[in-house]
Amino acid sequence: MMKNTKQSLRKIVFYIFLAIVCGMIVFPFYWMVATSLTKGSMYSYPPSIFPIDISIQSYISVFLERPMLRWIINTSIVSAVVIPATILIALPAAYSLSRFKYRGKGLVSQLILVTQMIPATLIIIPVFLIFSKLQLTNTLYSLMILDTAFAVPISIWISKGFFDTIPFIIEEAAFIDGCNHFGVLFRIDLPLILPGLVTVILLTFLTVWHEFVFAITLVQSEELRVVSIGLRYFKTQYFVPWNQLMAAAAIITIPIVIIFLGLEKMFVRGLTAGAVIE
Amino acid sequence: MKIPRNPKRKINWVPIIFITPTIIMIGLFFLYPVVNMFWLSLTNFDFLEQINTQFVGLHNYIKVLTTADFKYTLWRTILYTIGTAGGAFLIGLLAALLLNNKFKGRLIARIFILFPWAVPPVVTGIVWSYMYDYQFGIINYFLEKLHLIIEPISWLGDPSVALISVILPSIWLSIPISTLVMLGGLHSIREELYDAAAVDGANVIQEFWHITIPGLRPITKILILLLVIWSFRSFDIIYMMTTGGPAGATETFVMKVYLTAFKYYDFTRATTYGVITLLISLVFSIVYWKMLMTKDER
Repeated sequence: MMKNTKQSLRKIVFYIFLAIVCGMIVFPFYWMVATSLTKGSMYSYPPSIFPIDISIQSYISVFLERPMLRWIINTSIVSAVVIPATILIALPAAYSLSRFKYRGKGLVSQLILVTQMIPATLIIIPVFLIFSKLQLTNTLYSLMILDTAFAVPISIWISKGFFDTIPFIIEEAAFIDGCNHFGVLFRIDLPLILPGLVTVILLTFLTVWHEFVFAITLVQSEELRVVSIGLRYFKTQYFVPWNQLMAAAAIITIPIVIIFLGLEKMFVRGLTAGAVIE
Repeated sequence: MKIPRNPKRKINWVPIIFITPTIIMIGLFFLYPVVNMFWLSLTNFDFLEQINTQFVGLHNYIKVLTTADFKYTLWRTILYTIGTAGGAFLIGLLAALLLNNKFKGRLIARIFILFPWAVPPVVTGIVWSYMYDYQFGIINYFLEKLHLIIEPISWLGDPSVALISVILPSIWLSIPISTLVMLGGLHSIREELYDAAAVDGANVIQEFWHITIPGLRPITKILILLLVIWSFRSFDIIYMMTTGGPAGATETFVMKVYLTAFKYYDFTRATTYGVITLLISLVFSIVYWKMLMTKDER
């Protein structure tokens, strides 16, 4: 009897803690969606915790009154270049670090590590000066180049961890059949490191979709803005259209959440496999 | 490994060709900028004229380091970093301990806790700004309802609370990585230890104190280092919510560097702050590594 009450007490305490932690994490997101779905909620005070008058009016007006579609297209264009470019640069590099011994290899690995220590906010100053000279500022190219440069190091880490798990014997057969290293890498190894590849693609996509410093510094004209900086231009000095802002925020968040949830298991496995072997 | 085409030891070009694009990229976008930044901080470079740039030695450093502003920026950065890293660590630990149990709805809870990962920092900034809003914000509403405050607080407009206001969303954003790493640490503690403790009649608190905490120590050291480095360079949320204001109350080092360069176009001062920022994080990492890591952990 004593033990039973003690156990159920423990259970209650456990669920209270769990509810607090989960609530804290989910509430901002919930509040964003709730506001975006409530008709005219920005004028209402006190705020209603549950949307009463549900409408998708804010979502429609974001697309009609703001260049939301343009922002999404721009971000997609940048991703469509950055993802393949990252794979083409990072996978051979990871293969090289995983499969061969050569002088300077240790130095290269360390360099790749060191890049993670340098904040983008510092890199942007010299890069801005060069890009102004090359007239690359205010183009999407500038974002493609920089996003790739920032996605490559972490992608190398992750994929190297996966290459390390492939036994040499599998590759040897392919070499005997006359395959070269590039062929082995993309035809034999790639299917074997699929979770790693998915992780790399997802992380690179997140890099582009979340990237802020470069976009806000290098892109000035309205038709070149990407989703991450578009939100900044909703506010005016006198008025903040919270409904529209929350709808726009939901539009750029929800697709990622869906992709993320769908691939969550693979993603987490991909990250931890790389980390353990590192 | 054996490479069939090169039976004798010759230089094998394949790995070198494979790694070359990466090296070029790191050189152009990481090494060159750092060197260039260091150089600019030693000159009187003027962005608008860009001629007659002269070497001025440590002049810019002396100018920056002797201002009171530097001291305040350093202090703010330390507070922000400790607040964010500390908060993210504690909540991550709590979340990991909770998720490590078997219970109904564990998968959903796990997804919830990893959730902020998918949310763009910009969106985090916007949503929290809305919750903090003076007039329509839900935080003021709740606090008033609970009679904790009489008048609404201007969370992002009052210099005395603005730093705390930007720390909270920064913690929120770091919870997933912190939880995931700690969960990995908990998984690495062997189940037998708990079984043995249970046989010896240890209670939950004793188990936690004598098995869980020592077992988590190695991973904790690494996680704290990472969290500190990330918070130290955190930019998006602060820029989105306050842009360093009000009255510089949320101006950390990276904010300072950015605003000095792109708001005031003072590139020498900005690069000087930039080099100092890099040096601080470098020195901190090395000292931390040397002091806290035992030989086999390095």
